[in-house]
Amino acid sequence: MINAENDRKYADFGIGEFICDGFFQNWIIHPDQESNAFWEAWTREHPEKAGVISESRKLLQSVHFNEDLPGEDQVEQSLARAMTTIGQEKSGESISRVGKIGRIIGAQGFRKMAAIFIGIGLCISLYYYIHERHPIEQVYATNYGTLKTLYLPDSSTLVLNAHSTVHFSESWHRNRSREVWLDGEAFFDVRHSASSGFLVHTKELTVEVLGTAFDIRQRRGKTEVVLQSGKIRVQFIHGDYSDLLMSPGEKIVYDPEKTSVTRTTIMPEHYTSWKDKRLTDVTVAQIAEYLEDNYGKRVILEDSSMAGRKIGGAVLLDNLDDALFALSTVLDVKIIQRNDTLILRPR
Amino acid sequence: MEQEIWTQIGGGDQAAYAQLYTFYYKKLYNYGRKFTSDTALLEDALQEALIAVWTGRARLEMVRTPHTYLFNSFRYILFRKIKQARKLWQYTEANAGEPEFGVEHMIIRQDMETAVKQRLAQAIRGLTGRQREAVFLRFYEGLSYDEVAEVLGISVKATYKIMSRALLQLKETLSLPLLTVLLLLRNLS
Repeated sequence: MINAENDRKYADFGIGEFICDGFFQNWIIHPDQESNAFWEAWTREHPEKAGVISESRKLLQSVHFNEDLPGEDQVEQSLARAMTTIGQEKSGESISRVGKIGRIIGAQGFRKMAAIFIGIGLCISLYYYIHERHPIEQVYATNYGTLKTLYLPDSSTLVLNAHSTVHFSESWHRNRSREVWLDGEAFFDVRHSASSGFLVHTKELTVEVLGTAFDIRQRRGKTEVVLQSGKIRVQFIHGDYSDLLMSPGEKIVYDPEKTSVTRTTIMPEHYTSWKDKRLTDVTVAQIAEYLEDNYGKRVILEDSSMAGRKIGGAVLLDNLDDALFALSTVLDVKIIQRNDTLILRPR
Repeated sequence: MEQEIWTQIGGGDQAAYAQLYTFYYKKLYNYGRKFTSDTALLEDALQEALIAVWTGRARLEMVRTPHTYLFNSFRYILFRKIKQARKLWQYTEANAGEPEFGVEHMIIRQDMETAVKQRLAQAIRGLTGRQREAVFLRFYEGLSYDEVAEVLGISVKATYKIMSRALLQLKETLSLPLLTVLLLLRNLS
């Protein structure tokens, strides 16, 4: 299925062709390691098609259906009715076959049936227990100064910021929580599923996704969560804090040292602009922290009053040297680089 | 559902059947609700389709694709019951055709841009019931084109046609903003 011919075929594809292509659709419907790898590699080779691919994905993912599921007791009642109907058919059979003896051993037979029933149930749970216990873990880590976009097994996307690590199971069970463990910072765009929740674990807290796009920043001992859209619930590992339901535009900061949780309203687009390799509406201190966290630099401000100054517009981070040059012009400072230390000296 | 459970039922295993019943009851209930809100009628259709699996278990091994076979037979039974009910209530010819996959069951992801969402919603209203059903079976149930064709009782080629028309109709909604931009540019120059 994945071959050179396919590869060439897709080079001429537009959105219309992609969304109607069975192989492309399969990636959206049942994403797995193989298809993720194929499309990741393909997009790398055809970077000009990245926009088309992402639009096509978005379009196919935008369509959903209502889920109308019956209540558990309704299912049970229906099953009981069906089993009665079947039982009548069954006992009719046995009477004609074995006559009266069949009726006498009926009760015993029922007990035997029940035992088999339980036995099968145990086997099934044991099977799942063993299988679920040993899933293969995928681990991704980024170095200083690099971002990585990852597709998760359910085709949700994750942008991993520099100097961060995530791991998650290679395949996700349809009716179970999708779980990701994070150390560092990542932006999540989670595919909605009515049948399985989405959990992101960090050392200090767990975010349960009820909707969609959010950022977790676990840096400098603190953990910050910013919700861009949808709805999430944050559960703290520390037992003293109760769960928090967050609304879009909110930011919470958990500081285990001060044992405090603060909640503020911010512009989430600014907070998460790092994933587009830019920083928006930030102070000099925030830029300094960012360079330390994501580039492994140590930043020294010779004039500490500079820390609170706000930079209007966006700082582009495509290239660190360009960013530093822009910074030096805007702030009117000289930037001295010594190994991994940056000194900002007023001119 | 694994092939194995069908084999077990073929061998007369009631426990396996109960497991299958629960699994498909939910699945087919969800599917059937897209065509009718009459839950009593739906329950009857589910019972009939699922009990037929047990009574016909001796023939199960001859069914190559039991999963789609069950979808197809449930659909057939449900449609028959809906039509019977219509006759009973003497509905007019406005309701004479095939039961339709309700437009209200196809929805747009919450976090889409409002303008795009509105256009997509409009495009969905423009789809036929058959198109919505095909998209549901492919993208919600995750069936292959061959399987969708089997459930709908049509050819694979016809399925491709129905599906691509539906998807391209949805795609049209996305190209609108680009078109507007191009028109604006032309007016400016």
